[in-house]
Order: sequence, then C-alpha cells, then structure tokens
Amino acid sequence: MNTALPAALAIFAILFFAVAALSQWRRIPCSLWEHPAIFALSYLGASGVIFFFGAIEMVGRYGVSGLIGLAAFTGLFIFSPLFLDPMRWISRNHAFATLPDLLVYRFRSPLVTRTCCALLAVASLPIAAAQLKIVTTLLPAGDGLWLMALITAISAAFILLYGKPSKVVTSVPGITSVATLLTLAALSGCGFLAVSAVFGGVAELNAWSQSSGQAQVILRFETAYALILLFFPTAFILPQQGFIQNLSNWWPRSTSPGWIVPLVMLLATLPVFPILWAGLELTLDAPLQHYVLVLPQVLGAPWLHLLSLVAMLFIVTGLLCVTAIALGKVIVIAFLINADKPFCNTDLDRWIERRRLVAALLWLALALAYAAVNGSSSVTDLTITGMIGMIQLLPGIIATLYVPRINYKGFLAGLAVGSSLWLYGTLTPNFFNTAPPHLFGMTLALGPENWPFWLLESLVANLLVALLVSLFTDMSKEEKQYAFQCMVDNLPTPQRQSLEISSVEDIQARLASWVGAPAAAREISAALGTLSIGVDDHRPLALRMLRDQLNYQLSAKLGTVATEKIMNKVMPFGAGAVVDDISLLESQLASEGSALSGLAAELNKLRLYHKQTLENLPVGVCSIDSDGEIMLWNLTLAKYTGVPAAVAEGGNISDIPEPWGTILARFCADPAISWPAHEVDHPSQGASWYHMSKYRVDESSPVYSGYQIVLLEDVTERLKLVRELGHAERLTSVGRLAAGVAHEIGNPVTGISCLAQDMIAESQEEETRKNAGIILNLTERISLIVRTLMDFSRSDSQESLRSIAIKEAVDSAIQLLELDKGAKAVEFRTLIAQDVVVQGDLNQLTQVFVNLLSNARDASQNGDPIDVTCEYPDPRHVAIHISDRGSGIPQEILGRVMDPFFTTKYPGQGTGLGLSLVYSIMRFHRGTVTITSPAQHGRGTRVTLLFDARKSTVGPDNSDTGLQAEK
Amino acid sequence: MLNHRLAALLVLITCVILPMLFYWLTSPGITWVRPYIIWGMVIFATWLWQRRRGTL
Repeated sequence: MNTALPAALAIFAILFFAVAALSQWRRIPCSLWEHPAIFALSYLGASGVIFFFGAIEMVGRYGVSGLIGLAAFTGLFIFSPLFLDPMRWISRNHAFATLPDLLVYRFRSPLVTRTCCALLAVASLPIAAAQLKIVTTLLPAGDGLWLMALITAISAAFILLYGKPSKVVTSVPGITSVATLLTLAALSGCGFLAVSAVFGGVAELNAWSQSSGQAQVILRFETAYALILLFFPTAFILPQQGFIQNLSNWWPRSTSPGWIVPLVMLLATLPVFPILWAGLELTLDAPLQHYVLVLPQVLGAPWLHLLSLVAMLFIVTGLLCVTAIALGKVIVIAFLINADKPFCNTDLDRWIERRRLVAALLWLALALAYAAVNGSSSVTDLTITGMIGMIQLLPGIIATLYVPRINYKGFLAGLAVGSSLWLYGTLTPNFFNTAPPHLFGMTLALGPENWPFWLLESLVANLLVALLVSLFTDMSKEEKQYAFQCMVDNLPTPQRQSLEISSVEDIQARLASWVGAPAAAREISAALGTLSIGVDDHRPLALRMLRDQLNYQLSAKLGTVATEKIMNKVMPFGAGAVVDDISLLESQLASEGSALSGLAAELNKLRLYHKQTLENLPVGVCSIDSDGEIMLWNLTLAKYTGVPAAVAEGGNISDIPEPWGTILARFCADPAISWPAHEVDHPSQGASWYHMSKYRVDESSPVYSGYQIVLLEDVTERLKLVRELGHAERLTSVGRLAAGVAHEIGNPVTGISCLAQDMIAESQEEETRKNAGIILNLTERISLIVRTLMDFSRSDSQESLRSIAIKEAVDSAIQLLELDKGAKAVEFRTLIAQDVVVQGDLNQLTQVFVNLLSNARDASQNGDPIDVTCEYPDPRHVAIHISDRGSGIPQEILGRVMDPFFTTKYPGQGTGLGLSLVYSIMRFHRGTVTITSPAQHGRGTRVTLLFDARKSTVGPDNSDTGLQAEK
Repeated sequence: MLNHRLAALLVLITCVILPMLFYWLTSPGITWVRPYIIWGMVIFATWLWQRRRGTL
C-alpha cells in the first residue's frame, strides 16, 4: 500500500488540476454542463467518502439500515415537491446565497445568520476530518499527518486557483463529477472482483450468504428510522450540497429529473455487500472503509487498487474544496459584511472574493487541526457526528416552509438547546473523557456510539423549545409577513410603495456611493439588461422592478441583511401607504405560476381565465390606483389608444401620449361616473366617440381602496347608425308627404297648364298671351318639382335592375349636362373602364351622376376639371369617385347636406332634393354615399359611391343605411 | 399550501408500505438484493411520476 500511495498521489494531483483546467476551457459545450447527469454526479461527488468507501462500514455496522440511510440521502430528490422544490424556488427568487441567508430572511434577525454560520462551520469539521482520516489510516500510525497536510494543501491550491465566483461554476462540477465517475468505476471493479475471484459467481455468493448466516445478520432495522431522519434532511443542510444546489441556478435543466441522483447512488452501493462479504471471507486485516482498497491488493489487481486510491483522493479533496468554498461565502456574509460601512473606496467584487478565499483557507486549516487532534478514525462516526450538529437547523427549515408561528426567539432558543445537547453528547466526547450522566436511573452513554439517542434527544428538545418559546413570545409584524411569504405554495405578495427616487441615473449615483462607481455601473447595467428596461424608463413600475433586481443581484454577494440595508438607503421608499403591487404580482404569477400546486394552482387557473376575459373584452378597460399608476391596460384599450400594455402598465396615467393622457386624467378626476359620448380627435384617425364610465373601489374597502376601473366603449359606429336611422326616417316621412303633395298638386297644375295653353292659342291680345306664357312656364316648373317629388317617393321594383356599365351612366349624365350652354365651362374627365359593371337601373344611376356632376360643376370655377374615377377597395366592392376642385363644403353643414330640402343655392336654383335623391337611389342599389370635404390640400369635395360588385345581390337593404360624411 | 396528495402518500408509505416491506425484507431467502429491488422500483416510480408532471 505504501508503494502505491505516492504513485496514486502523483496521478491524482495531475488529473485533479487537469480536470479543473479543462473545466475552464471555454470550448466545452454548455449542453454538457447543463446535462442533468453532470448535476447528479457533481452532487454526489461533493457528498464525501461515507457514501462510497464508507458505505462498506455503514452496511457492516448497521446492515440494511445503513443502506436505507444512504438511500434516504437521495430521498430529497424523490420527494422534491415537499422540500427541495420550495427551497429552490424561494432561494432562486431571492438569490439566497446560503442556507443561513434563507433563515435570516425568514426570521429577520442578523443573529440567526451568525448562529447558523457558526454551527455549519463547526459541524462541518468532523465531516472534513472523516475525509482526511480515511486517507491517514493508509499509513502507519504517526505518519499520516503529512498526508493530511498535503491533501489540505492541494485543496487550498484549488481554492486559490479556481475558487473565484467566475471560475467555480465550471471547476467544481468538473472535479466532483469526475470524482464520482472514478469512484463508481473503482467500486464496480472491486465488486466484480469480489464476486468472481472470491465466491466464483453470484449463485455462490448467495449460497455463502445463506450458509454463513450473513443473509440474516444484515437484516437489522433498529437504527433505520434514525438514519432516515439523519440523512434525509442533511442532503439540503450540508453546506457543500447547498452550494451545488446554488450552482444549479446556472444549470437551468440540471435539477429537474429527481431520479438521476438516486440512480447513481444505487449504482454506487450495489457492490457494497459483495465487497463486505469478500473481505469477511478473506478475513482482511483492515478497517471496513478500506476494503475497497485492500481487496484488489490481496487479490492481485494493482491497477484496481491504484484506481481506488485515486478515486478516494478525488472524493476527499472534492468535499474539502466545495465545503471550504461554501463556508467561505457563508462566513463573509455573516461576519464580515457591514452594511453600515460603504464600500465605495474598494472594488466590491474583488473585496468579497479575497475575503471569501481567506475564510475558506482558514476553515481548511481548522479542519486539518481538528483531524489531527481527533482520536476517532471511523468515517461513519465522524460524519454522523457532524450531521447531528447540522440537523439542528431542521426545525428552522420546517418552520420556514410549514410553520409560520415559530419566531426567531423560538428558533434560536431551540437551536441553542439542540446544539448544546449535540456538543455534550457526541462532539466533545471525542476529545474529553466525561463521565456519563445518569437520568431516571439510566446511564446515558456519551459519544458517537450512542448517536441515535443524542440525535433524537437534541432534535426533539430543539423542536419543543422552539415551539414553546414561540408560543409565549410575540412576533413582530415584519417577521409575520416574511413568515407567510416563505411558506410552501405561498407566492409572496409584492408590496408597492412609492419611491423617492425617479430616474435610473440617480439610482446609479446613489448606489455608487455605497458599492463604488464601477460596481454600481456593472450592477445597474446587468439589472437593466435582465429586465429589458431602458435607462430613460421612468415608470414607477420599472423603477420598482429595478430595485427588486438590484436587491436580487446584491443579495447573492452581500447577503440578505446587508443588501436590504443598502437598498433602503439607495432607493428609499416614500411616505405613501404600502399596498399590494398588483403589476409585480401579476408578472410573478405569469412566470412562476406553473410551479404552483394544489389549491394555489387552481386559483391561478381561475386568474388566467379572468385575465383572458378582461384582456379580450370588446371594451377598453384600465385600472388606475389612487396615485394615478396604471395597473391594467387591456388589449382593446391598447387598440383604441395605440399604446401597448407594456408601455402603459406601471406608468402614470398622465404619461400616456396625447390626447388620451389628458382625457383619462380629466375623467379620473371628474366626480361624474360617466361621459356618455366623448369626442376624441385623433391626429391621424380623425374623430371618434367613446362612452366612458368608471367604478371607484370604495375607500372603506380593505382591498385596493381608491382604485378606479375605467371602461371605454367606442360608440362611433353606433352614433353614425343612429344618425343614419334618423336621416332615413326623415326621408321616409318626406317621401310619403311628397307622394301625397305631388298627387294633390299635379291635377290642378295640369288643369292650369291646359288653360294657359288654350289662352296662348286662342287669345289675340299680346299681353294676355305673354302672361299665359309665364303661367305655362311656372306650371312647368311646378310640374318639374312634382315629378322630382314623385321620383323621390317612388318605390322601384327589382325587375328594373340589370347589369350595366357605369361608364354608360356617367357618359349619359355628362351629355345631358353639356346641353346647358349657360352653365360653367368645366372639364369632365371620365377615367372608368368600359368593363366596370354593376347591377342597377341605368336611368336612376344616370340621375345620380347628373345630380352629383351638376353639384360639382356648380362648386367649380371655369376651366376646372371634374374627375370621375373608379377603384376596387376590395374584391367585393367597386368605388366610383367624383372629385372637384371647388371650395369644398363647410364642416358645419357637412352632416346635413343629404337632408331633404337642404340647399345652399339661391331660391329657384335648387330644390334641395338632389343629394337626398342620390342617397335614396344608392340605398336602393345597396350602395353607400360618402362625402369627403376637403378632399385634398384643403380644397375640393370627393363623393364616393360604393357599389356591391357581386352580380347576384341587388335590392333594398334596410340594414345598410349607406350614408357617410367625412371631414 | 401543502401538496396534500404527496403528504398523504408519505404517510401511506411510512405507516403501511414500510412495515410491509420490512416484513418482506426479513423473510428467508436471498435477502441482500431485496433493498436494491425496492430502491429501483422507487426510482422507476419517480421517473414515471416526473415524466407525467412534465419535469423530464
């Protein structure tokens, strides 16, 4: 053994640093590091020799119970939803650097961090000593110290070279996963050798176990529950395991499959019984934990012996390195960070890094000293001693996840009692010979041999004292709030309070005064990048999110207590009331909702349903708090205003772009609960009308008092419809009246006309004939009006409709208009193809164009062109535009031009029925008339006739009112 | 909020399944492989469960 050890040490040292260096090699793909198997191997590689070489001793001592204990260590992953997932969730959300940091967040006392840190550091010493002792016993008595010192020195060198936060992410997984792989190979090889070389096969092994009675000897369960109780929770409490869990924040995929860690552990322990029994059969003269090393040597397998030695050195050094780095972080946060003293004159990251390294090296030196003076050399005894100390934190973890009633006084009192029993019962007997105490006539054995008793005693006393003290002492309001926030499935409700600071530049300047300008710039830049927020974003929500993100980033470096103090000075809250931050809660639920289970998950589903309903309501909805901050901005409102929810939510109502900012701010301040049809003039879209109403949450309401929920409904189309219906009704009334009047007037006028013609024909007097001629002209004018009225009121049948070319109707109208030689000389330009066909009545459509072109001519100057153009706005419609370059229609009369008898012409020049007739005819053709004035450059009018291009659809349609007037 | 189904399962395992397993473990025969069989079954059940939850 002595001859192989130097070679093993040399191979180990070269391989160890080669793996560490290779891990830093940037060309190794990220997918390899992120693989769940790497996490599993790394996790077990940092857990120490008891789970591999020490497993032989565990099983030799406790039989199947030892195996159950080892399996329980991985049970945390099997029952991950109970403990591991909530702890991970809380740790990730708040960037807790260590377990003490989580506990201080929960119990709100800096004393908690220091007590927990001290306990972890002291309880880790026996575990570290167990690693060093297993190597020491390879050498003759008295020669082991140099080997322990050498391994400690190698660990220290690794910490100095690769222990920096930037390097540790890959170097630690590298060495620990290789350690597990080597150990698995050594154990498997040794197990195979034991079965084949010692027993001659599996059947023979089974027969030997029956004949020797070992099959029954291993069936011991008296310590099973104690081992489960010890190993199950320590999987999270051990600082090295917590450190690997924290590293998993950089490995998003790594922690999800909970079955890989137990599977690797199963593979590692599978050869345990064959190796143990082979050693017993060969009556090996070595401690049980050395069977893996001695067996290959005895059976003539030097390479396997060498492999086992290297693997053992890897596991030992892996645990020492990871524990030292983890404790270095804990010690700096608990004892060295002083939030009252600014770091502005130092480089924060460098300052923390140096102190962590020094703390880690000091702890390593302490572990070496502990191993040197400790008398015990049993891996099991030393590891269990350390674990009993660590498990004293279990009541605190249970309280964090499940029992909000336990306060920090109870927790610390319980911890003090439990730790004292642990120190008295199991730790100090390794150094001092104390007389065993007597209790109720029983003698209580001290030391690791009686560990189940001291485990149960210390834990029960710890829990009872914690409960009793908590029951009889008060909890502060703050502690209560955080106690409920940390509970399983209880999403912490973010609190909102107005900040005194209002710009990112100010925040950076203030932060620089605490952590130095370079560190402040780094942190702010990283936070802005993570949140995708711009430097110029001044929204209250954005600044609050920035505060939380900075809190998160600094917590990982400075710990919760110091970070909270610094952030309270850098970004202090204003004097306003503290209320629930709905926006942050919403974003948290959106990102973390899938992690919820049970009733919380069901409630989250309900929340999603209501949110979806609100978002997709055809009515604009926004919720505004008492400070004017927008809490909700649904999709419809985003469509109305053109302001997306991401921009509006979290901002102030008055910061919304005009015209909406002013309108909404005025409406919120107005005591009226509704504005029936408020006109909003969009610079780009024109005028629209909105029905605005609001609901104010009662001031006496315990939830969200002072909030206003504002509803906006676009009533533009409805208003137009109402106007159209009014217009159509007026036309109908006028039509009926016209028909009656025309009938009644028509007959007398015909008589008058006949008499006038008779007078012209029969009278000899010039004066009489002249007067009769005037009468005749006037009767013709009356007849024209009567005919127009008849046309207006006429109800045409569909039989008159046929496919006609629009150009034909336009040309006919232009020919008729050109007959009037006294009219203005304008240029009619028809730009319509011959194949533009609609279903219609040629005479009626000619009448439409006569009226429209006549109006256009009247509005134009001599020589102006009047264009008749055509376009297809969509495949179903054809639009005909009549555009002039006249003075346009004044806005105040634009809405009335289609009313019957409305005219701006002098008496005798127009009846006021032309456009009404156009409207009536277009309605009959299922078309619409739109008047746009001014048409372009502030002048002219454009009348657009929209026809249905589908040949089969003709006839009146009462649902389509057809009239539109546009500015 | 506690995950009730999982808590109930834990109670069931502690009070019913573990004593039954202990009985089976201590019955005569090849005893040393039985803990591994149980352990393997637990891992397989975890794999199945986590696959159903979509965490794989």
